Amino acid sequence: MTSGSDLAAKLNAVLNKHAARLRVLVAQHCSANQGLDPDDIEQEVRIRLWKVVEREKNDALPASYVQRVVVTTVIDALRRGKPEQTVALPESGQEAGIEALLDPIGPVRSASDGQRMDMVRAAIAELPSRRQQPVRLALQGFTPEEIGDLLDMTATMAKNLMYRGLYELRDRLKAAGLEDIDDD
Amino acid sequence: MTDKLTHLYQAACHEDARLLEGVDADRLIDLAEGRLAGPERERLVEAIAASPALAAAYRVARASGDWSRGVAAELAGERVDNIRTLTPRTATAAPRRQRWALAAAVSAMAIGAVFVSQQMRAPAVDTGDDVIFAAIIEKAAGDGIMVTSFDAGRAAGDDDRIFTTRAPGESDAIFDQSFGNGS
Repeated sequence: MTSGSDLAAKLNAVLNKHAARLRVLVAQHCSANQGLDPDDIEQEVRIRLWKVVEREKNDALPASYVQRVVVTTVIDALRRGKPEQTVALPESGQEAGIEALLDPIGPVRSASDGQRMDMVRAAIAELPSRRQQPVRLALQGFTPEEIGDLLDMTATMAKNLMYRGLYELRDRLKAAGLEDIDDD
Repeated sequence: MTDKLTHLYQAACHEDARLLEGVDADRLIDLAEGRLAGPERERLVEAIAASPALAAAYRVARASGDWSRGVAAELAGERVDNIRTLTPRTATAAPRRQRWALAAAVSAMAIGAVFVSQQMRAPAVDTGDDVIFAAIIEKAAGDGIMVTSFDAGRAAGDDDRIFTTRAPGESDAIFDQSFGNGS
């Protein structure tokens, strides 16, 4: 029978070999916009898997379980990275802008940012319903192929709806006075 | 257009934290692995479209499938040599090859099943025919059809009873003339 230390050593050896790929994976999909540290994620995954192996005294972890550990680790890290939604009350004698208190994003954003975001939300809501989801997903960074998978349609159809929607969105925003949305 | 608009839209996703808080990792994996359908799938896709953090988590769920399978297989001591030599390109090609192999195996099984069923059916038909033919022959033998001879019942040297109802040289009883005994 394999001892606990043998299992831990075996897990360490396997993870050492696959750790770099996990870090790349996290860096590709999370670090740019979400600010996650791939090294932290890899360490956390390693610790969680090690705890399971120690507890179960079994090195036959199902792939679905390993995947679940990775995804929950990333979700937990993303949750920790989200800013607090509470807004500190102003101290006595200090005035807080009404926009800062009403803006659900937080007081750090200016009123003009809030207005621009409202305009984007409103313009997307005015798009034909079939184009709204492809546009939202495209603005989350998904490719037409990925959008097609998510919306259960062909990549060609997703691409068509996405581009038509994006052009219409740009026209609506420009018509509403948001001129500087084109990339330099 | 897209970069600025992307940042603006993602900043406008004011329900990001709430949607991330409510997500179930298992459902996200199910969606990434193509196992989620119906209203639950629609709700989750809607949430992903409205939450940059959830979109990132979904991407990780989608991309971590191969990685997890590799780690699990190696921990279990399976395909160690193959995994060691996996490069990113072969790692992405491997599931495709597995799908082709699975399709080929299923096709072979289907063809084999048809072949075997035909083989099993053919002897049964032959046997049945044999039995039928044997029964006919046996019945015929029993009924005496095949064994009854025109010579049966008359002594050796007697004339055929059919043609011996009249004496040689007599005229036919019906036509009253001689047919020359059929000669």
